[in-house]
Amino acid sequence: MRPSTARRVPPPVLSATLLLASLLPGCGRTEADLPTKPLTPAEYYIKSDMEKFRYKNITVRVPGSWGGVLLPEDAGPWGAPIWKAVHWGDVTTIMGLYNQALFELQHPRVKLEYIQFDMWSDNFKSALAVALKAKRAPAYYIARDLPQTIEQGLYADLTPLMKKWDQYELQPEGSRREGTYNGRIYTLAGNELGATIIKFRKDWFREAGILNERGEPGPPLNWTWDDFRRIAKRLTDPARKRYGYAAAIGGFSSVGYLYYVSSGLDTYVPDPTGKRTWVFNDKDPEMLRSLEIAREMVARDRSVLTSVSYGWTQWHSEFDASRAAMIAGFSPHPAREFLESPYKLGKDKPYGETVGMVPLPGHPSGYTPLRPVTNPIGFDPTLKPEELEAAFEWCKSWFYGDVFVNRVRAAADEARAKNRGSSLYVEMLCLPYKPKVNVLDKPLEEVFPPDYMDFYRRVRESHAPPLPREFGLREPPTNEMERALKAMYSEACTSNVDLRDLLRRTAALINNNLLNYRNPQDSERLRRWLDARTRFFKRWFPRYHDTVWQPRLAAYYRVP
Amino acid sequence: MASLSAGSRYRDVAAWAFTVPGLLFQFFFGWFPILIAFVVGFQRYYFVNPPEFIGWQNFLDVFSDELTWTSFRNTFYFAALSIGLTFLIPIFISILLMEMSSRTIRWMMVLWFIPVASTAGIVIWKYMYQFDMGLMNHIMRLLHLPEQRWLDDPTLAMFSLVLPGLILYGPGLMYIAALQSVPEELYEAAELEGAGFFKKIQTVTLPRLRPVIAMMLIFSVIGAMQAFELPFIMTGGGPGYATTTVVMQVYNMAFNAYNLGKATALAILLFFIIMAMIMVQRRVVRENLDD
Amino acid sequence: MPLIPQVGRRRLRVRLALLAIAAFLWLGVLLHLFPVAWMASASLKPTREIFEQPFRLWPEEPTVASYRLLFTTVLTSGLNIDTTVFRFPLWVYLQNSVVIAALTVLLQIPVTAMAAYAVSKLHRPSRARWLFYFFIGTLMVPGQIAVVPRFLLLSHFPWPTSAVPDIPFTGLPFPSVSFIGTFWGVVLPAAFNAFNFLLFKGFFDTLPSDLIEAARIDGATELQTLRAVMLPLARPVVAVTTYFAFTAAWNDFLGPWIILMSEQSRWPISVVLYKLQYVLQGWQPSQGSLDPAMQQLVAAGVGYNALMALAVVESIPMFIAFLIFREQLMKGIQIHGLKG
Repeated sequence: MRPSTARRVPPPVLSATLLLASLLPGCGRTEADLPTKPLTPAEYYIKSDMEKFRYKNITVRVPGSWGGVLLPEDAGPWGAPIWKAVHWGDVTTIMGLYNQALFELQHPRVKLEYIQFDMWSDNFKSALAVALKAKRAPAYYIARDLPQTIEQGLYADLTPLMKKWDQYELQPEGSRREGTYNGRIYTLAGNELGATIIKFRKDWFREAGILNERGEPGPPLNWTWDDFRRIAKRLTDPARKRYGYAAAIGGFSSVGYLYYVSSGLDTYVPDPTGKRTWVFNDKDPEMLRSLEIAREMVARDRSVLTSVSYGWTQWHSEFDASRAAMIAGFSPHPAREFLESPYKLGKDKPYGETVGMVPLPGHPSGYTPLRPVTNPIGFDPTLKPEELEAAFEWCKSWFYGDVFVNRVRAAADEARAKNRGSSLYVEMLCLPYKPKVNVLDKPLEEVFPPDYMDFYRRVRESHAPPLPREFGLREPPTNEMERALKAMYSEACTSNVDLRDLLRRTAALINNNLLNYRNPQDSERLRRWLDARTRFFKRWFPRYHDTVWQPRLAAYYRVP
Repeated sequence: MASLSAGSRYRDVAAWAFTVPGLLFQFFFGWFPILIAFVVGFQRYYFVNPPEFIGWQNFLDVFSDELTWTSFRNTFYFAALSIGLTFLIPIFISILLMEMSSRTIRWMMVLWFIPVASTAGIVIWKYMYQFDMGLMNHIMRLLHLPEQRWLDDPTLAMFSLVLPGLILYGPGLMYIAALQSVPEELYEAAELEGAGFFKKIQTVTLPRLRPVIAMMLIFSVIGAMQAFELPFIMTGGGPGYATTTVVMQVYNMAFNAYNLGKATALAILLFFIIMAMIMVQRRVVRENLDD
Repeated sequence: MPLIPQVGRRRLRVRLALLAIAAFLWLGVLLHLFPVAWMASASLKPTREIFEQPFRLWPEEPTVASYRLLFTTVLTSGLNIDTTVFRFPLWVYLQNSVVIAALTVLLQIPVTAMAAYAVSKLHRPSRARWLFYFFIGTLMVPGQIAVVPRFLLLSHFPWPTSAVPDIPFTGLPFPSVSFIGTFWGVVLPAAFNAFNFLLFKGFFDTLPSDLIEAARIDGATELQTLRAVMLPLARPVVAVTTYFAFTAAWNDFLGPWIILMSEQSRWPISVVLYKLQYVLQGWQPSQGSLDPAMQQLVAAGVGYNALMALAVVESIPMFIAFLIFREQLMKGIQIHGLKG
């Protein structure tokens, strides 16, 4: 007896194979697929559903809550999610849909998709990696960890689009420099201009009698590092559990970093021997001094509240809990809090009179580390050219075009109905671009305290020095550098080790592990970068250029 | 003869038909990833751009990164604590459990193995470790001991991860199964020769358990060296890098720093270290078996 | 029984020893049940009672408000932190967990059992040995080495890189499928489990071949043999492996976390639980102020009690599975004739 299953190919398998084979030719997309004749909005409007569907061949995935909106996922008793949004009175969401329709009317080829993508969580990077592989990444996202992510190819090259853009120059200089790598531009400056600030308690300053040149409570207008240290010590009050300053042990908020940034010190300088591109800048005595100061302020003055586990949330919570006189922050936030939670620090403490912001302390010669920056935005590198252009158009509309105008109008309506401060004022305060129409109903001077307006004026007038990456120089990996420095400052503050030895050990670690690379063209590039930097200092900080930069350049920035 | 060969040919076809799905899955999701790992470990691959071969550079990077050694230190510490403290306990408890009446045994087994979802269990313990409001500090206060920062304390964090395993002692299914297969006569024979409680354990129980213990030890080592979920959910790496294990470091390098080549190189290093540990362990256990 | 002799059981010292052992074991049982009770009681507490001191095991006013809250959604616009954990109603996430667990079990058990049966009974011994090592070799290999490669493989299956080669003689690239963001990306890697294979093979080895011979002589196909003869006998093993497969799939965190991260509509409950506790961990009631969005959540009652309610919801199906499989589980471990 011969079993029948042995030889014949069963029919289902055969038909499946044929089906699969017939699909193969459809696998590759050819140019013939794209409808060739472009339609005007009026012509598009009269096409049938299927024609419209096929005509729209450019998809732009917009992250919800960053230009987009998300409908609720279930309908509740209202029948459909959109009716839920309507009956909830959710004008922001409905306006988002209106903006979507308006943009698609103006650009009939484009299909906008609002997707959910969280930009601000701690696992943003892993979510982005997964989304890119799942081909569900948004068309644009925040550009973190520059410039390594540029080298990793995470962002599309925007140079041709930038050249055609009329508001290109309005991007904050710091952002423009951050996103430029070897002459090509990879990021777009977002719509929230700001700078790193020191947030401080005006009421405590007033109490202690620390007033600036204009008689307002606060540090001197062009304050220096010594002022900062003095004030921190003055405002520390163990009896009332008050610290002068709260921060993390390493990173941009730490006192060590504040010290060397106030005089424009770099953590890495060109390697004079030519073996590597960079070496750790342990030769400059100011680096050792920064360690000494960190130790003094934390252990001796006890004016700094810090801990190994402190992050942004922690030191902000300490400030909100009235345990610190000053913290490092980012400037849109106090302006936003001023509008949204004016009594955050107490029922009798209106925000404008309790919290102020000033730039980081600078150098007596007039140098200030104030830099205008904003959220850098990178675009998906796998987008086709027409998709990239469409996404860019959307961003423009979102920043200062129709989408922007409609959005703030809806937000203002909502705020008025809910009797809350409107976020419109903050958005206009921080917008680097020029909106299509004026959306303010009253000038900003009438909304914000004068010192906030003054600060933003200074931010808009400030400048950012040229960065090595603009000249094609590879910068050390940011996270690892930060980690090594954090470990160094942590050890300095919490133990009694010899600081010179600590510095030497850190230098060995950083030089061997993080800085061991070189490119043959680096000498030329270093020279060009240093020239650009010298020109920058000479133009904007002439006294600093003469007294600090030139000697430093000669001593520690030797290019082989 | 013809029907026999046809029958065996049919059996062959059937055998392969049964095996092929398992074969395919095991190849694609078992062995193929390992092969890929050994290739990616020698490449520079950052997710987006196509990978390129760079030889041993990834391994050099891994060796020179001090976070690698920190994470290995943490992992060894965790494995030592968790195996040292919690590996022997189930053996001990299982042996004791067999002393009870069979009804008691059944009840205890059921209650002991009531499952709690593992993520839920970790979250419950995370909240018990909270500084001001957690149960652990409440107990410390009741016992007039100083309050601890548990998961926030760099020196205590790793121990806090192992502590639940220590407190929640219980038997092991494998041991109970093995113990049940020990015939009563052996015990009675030992009894007749005058063996006491501990002597009986030594001469009768432990030798029977030895193969099971050896196998479970291997699995425990592999499991402890691969700990990811527990530290990830409880501390996310810990205060500083105190609870970053090697697998967490692989995950961070791959999905946060996007350095797939280096992450895979680290995973390969872990692979070889675990293999070495297992081989050493088998040799030691075999020696014990022989004497 | 065995260690303490029957003869001496009447003596006081021995009885005390037995009592001490029993007490010790019961203490262990209680300690084990404590987190379960804690979880259940915390989920029934109203918000203000959560962090009350002294600790109360049973809430003063038990309420199911947390559960009710879990089954509603929180609107997204107006909140600018990641509070979109509840973008979908809870039953969607529950469904996802069930789908993942069911697909895994339905795929894994047949594939693994058939492969084990074939290796145990159907293949020639020489081939069987080679296949056996092929199938269980990965048990000895630490699984984490495969995490990244498996992710890459699933992104453009079956190619490990996005540079897919072209089909020769045509200009078309080979087809490549991305399983990222789909349930199959989680289920397919678990379609074969080496440990369960070992259990199945161990069992099938103990079955005598005469039964199979008898069935063959009667003219049954191999599939019929398996179904009619082997499976009824294999019930305990199938129960044990099903239970293991189910609990592993239900508890799986890393797989769904990496593969499904971008699709919130497909998250299982383990990921939702992690996200919720992550969002809430910034909330310390001892500190003064709260993010306004967080305040909204807290005002809506989402706190530790909601977290525990979610934990209870996650644990209930596992408990149900445990009850269903308890008999077989207890019986099954007695036939684990595992040689070293």
